[in-house]
Amino acid sequence: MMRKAFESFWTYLPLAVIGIAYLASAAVVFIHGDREAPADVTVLRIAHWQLESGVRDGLNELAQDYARHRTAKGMPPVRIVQEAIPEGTYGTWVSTQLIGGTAPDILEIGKLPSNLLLAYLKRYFLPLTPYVARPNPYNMGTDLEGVPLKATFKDGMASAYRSEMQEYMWFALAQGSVRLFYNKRLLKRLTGLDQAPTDYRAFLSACERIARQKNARGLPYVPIAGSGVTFGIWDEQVFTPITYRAIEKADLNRDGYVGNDELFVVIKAGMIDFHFRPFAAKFKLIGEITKYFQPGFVGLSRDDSLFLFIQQRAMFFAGGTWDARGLVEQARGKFEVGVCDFPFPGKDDPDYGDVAVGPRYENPINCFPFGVTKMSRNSEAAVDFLLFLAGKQQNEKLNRIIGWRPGIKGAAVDPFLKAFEPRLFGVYGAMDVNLGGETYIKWSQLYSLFQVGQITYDELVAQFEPFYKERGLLDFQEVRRDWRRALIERERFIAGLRAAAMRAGSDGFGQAWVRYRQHATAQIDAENERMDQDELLAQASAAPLRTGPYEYSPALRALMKTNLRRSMRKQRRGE
Amino acid sequence: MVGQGALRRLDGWNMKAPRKGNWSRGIAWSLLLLLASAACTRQTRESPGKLIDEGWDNFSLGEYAFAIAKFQKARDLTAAGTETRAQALFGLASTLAHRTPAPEMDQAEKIFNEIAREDPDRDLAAWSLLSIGRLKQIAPVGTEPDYRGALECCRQAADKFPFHPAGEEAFLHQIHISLMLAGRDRNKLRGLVRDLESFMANHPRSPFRSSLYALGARCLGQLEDHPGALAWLVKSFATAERSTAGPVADQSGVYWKLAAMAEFKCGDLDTARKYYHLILKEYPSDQKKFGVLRALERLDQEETRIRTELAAVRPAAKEARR
Repeated sequence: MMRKAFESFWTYLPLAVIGIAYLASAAVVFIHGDREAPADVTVLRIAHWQLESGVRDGLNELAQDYARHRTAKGMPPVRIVQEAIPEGTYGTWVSTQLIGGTAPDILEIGKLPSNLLLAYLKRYFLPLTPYVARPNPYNMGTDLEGVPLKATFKDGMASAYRSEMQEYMWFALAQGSVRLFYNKRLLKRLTGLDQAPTDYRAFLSACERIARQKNARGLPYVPIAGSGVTFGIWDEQVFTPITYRAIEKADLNRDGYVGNDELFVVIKAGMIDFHFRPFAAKFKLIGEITKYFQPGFVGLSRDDSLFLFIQQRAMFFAGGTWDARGLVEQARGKFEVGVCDFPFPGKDDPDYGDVAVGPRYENPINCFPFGVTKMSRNSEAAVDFLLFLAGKQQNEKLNRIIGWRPGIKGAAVDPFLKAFEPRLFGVYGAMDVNLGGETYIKWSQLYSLFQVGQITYDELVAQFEPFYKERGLLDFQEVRRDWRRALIERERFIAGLRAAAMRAGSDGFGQAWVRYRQHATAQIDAENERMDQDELLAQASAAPLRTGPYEYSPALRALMKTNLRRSMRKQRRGE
Repeated sequence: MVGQGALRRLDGWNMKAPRKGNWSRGIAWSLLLLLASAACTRQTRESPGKLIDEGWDNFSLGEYAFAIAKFQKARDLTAAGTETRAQALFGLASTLAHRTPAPEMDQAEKIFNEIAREDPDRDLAAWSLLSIGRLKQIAPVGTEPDYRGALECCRQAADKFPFHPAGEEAFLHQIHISLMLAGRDRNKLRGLVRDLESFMANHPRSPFRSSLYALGARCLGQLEDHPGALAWLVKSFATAERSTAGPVADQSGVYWKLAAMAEFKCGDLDTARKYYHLILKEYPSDQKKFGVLRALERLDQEETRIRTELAAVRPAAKEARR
């Protein structure tokens, strides 16, 4: 009998353990769940990938403010539960949550495959368009009272507007830009300077002095902490804007920009080549700056360069507003972090004065975007919380805690971040050689070799230019086929807009019809642009283009003279 | 030991089939039936109108198979010749034409023709004719667009429904395709300009005026009447529809285009200055601001050069006349 009892015990033990574990888990979930979410409290879940110092604290504090506000106003109580998901897994996590129908009420939008983002937005996120023309109720009592919501954002909510959907899909709560961080104490010790120089020649001179010195362990100082990522920042902010003057030769449709197709046409037509002065200047600039990066920077990650900076082995580190708070905290007790603008040559620079015709322009962007999921059972409360975060005072507080720049106009900026104010006047890049396909691969390979000093610019040009002109044509034609695919895709979208407009009624008038027509007529503009390109290619094949788009031909000068003479005569006659 | 004991017990359970075993089996079967019944949903009868709305929702989400099913169901639930049936057919044809992969253009065209034939005067007949024209023009990659076929369809739609939104849009595409096919033929281009002038006179409220003025500007540009082209482009800008639903429309690009056209095609310094200054006034933070200041400097330098030249010529001319 004992034996039988013993055998029974062993047989049913696993089941018993499972059963007990289940009951214990259920009890914990029940008790804990009740503590997190009492029956009479609405719980809003908000998720993001920002594990940087300050973000969770900022959201928690504003969540508490919001809860207190609701209590004070006699509104149903709300509890905000935050989920911070590591950046590397965020995209997968969000996808799973959305598809599984268990996504939080509010999600930071990003880290999703770009080719699927539109589909995700359409399927899973609530359009916020109904709110953008109304004032934000949380701006009452401020200078933004009565101002439509979209006009209160620094970028006018332009970044939140998806033209493919004709909807605003998120609120972007902060403004991002990039600058150079530097080690103030080390700068003083190695160069005698109290502030980092932003004059280009003075900056190079400081880098040279830094590079000649070694630390206590005999290791040379690295003037600029480099990596693949930080090179990209330098490229966008300094190297590419120096190519601005290419507009004078390559802006064939005179829209103020040089597209990859226009550049191809002018190079193929022999109007310019890769030794064109602004292009050669860019690569000279790259060589002069990357000389002060650490060896092998191309293969290093952003964290590698950041580490070098924190270890006080490197002087300058290119980063964004999102890095500021973290850097200051990591450096606390070791050194003071300074912020300066990127050095950019001026008109009086001995080498670049002829191409550096102005300061560099920065495109201001709002970041930290949050949307409301369609599966939220409390979408009104979710939107209300986002409106709260987008209120001027609340946005200011949120970003002050996080250490970022506010995304709302007029909200006070941390003095440390004033240096990140975007530069809204200046020059921008005009050298887009990316035609996709094999041309892009060849360019990437040669560009990387140039960055690490394995080939000179002349060698890069010798290898790339013939390839670009010959193979580039095939890739260029594929780009045009892609244009046709885009036309078809847009026609599909237009069919949907037409159906929506027909359902809205109004006999051809009303906003739904205006939306429809804007897209329908844009198809014509797209085809006209391609016709113009065909003509240019034909002209380029027949004869080299002689006059740049912004140059006056003799015939044009004669016409101007005639018109001016006529105008002068009219003035003399008192007309 | 445990395993063998379990097996013996299992065998015992099967062989003996005690009352306790019957109970267990009964419970298990009941549970199974309960679970199975939870998967059943009650079928409710949906109205054709609701099915059509759902069909378009599916279309927008790219779920074309579901969209087709909805439109087909709506079609089957409605009587021939009714407006609702025509709407279901229109949705079905649109989905067949635009679905990916494997669009069925021929089938779509057939259905659009059916809609137009059933009631040639109805609203959807106009949209169907326009849709056929668009299908012929927006051909899949690798297929040459049938511009002449598209032109014919658009002409039919425009002639039959001259004051209908679909008819006016069809006229726009008719002009556009004609312009593409005209090349540098001056007679054809002049003919298009006349057609456009006639349309503008007869359709003072058409929402397509702006796009038509822009096409007219292209025609005049091909005819090398650049001042005329500029004037039509200005009218195009003046008559453009403004959407209040999206971001505030950025017209800086239009101003730049007008200024550049005035400067480089018409040699009209004053008009060029006017539009460059509008960019500075209305878009002070625009990315092109630097370019605008350079343009104004360029215009000033050129005007100074011309005035100096003219001033030098005038005394010499006076002397020659004496």
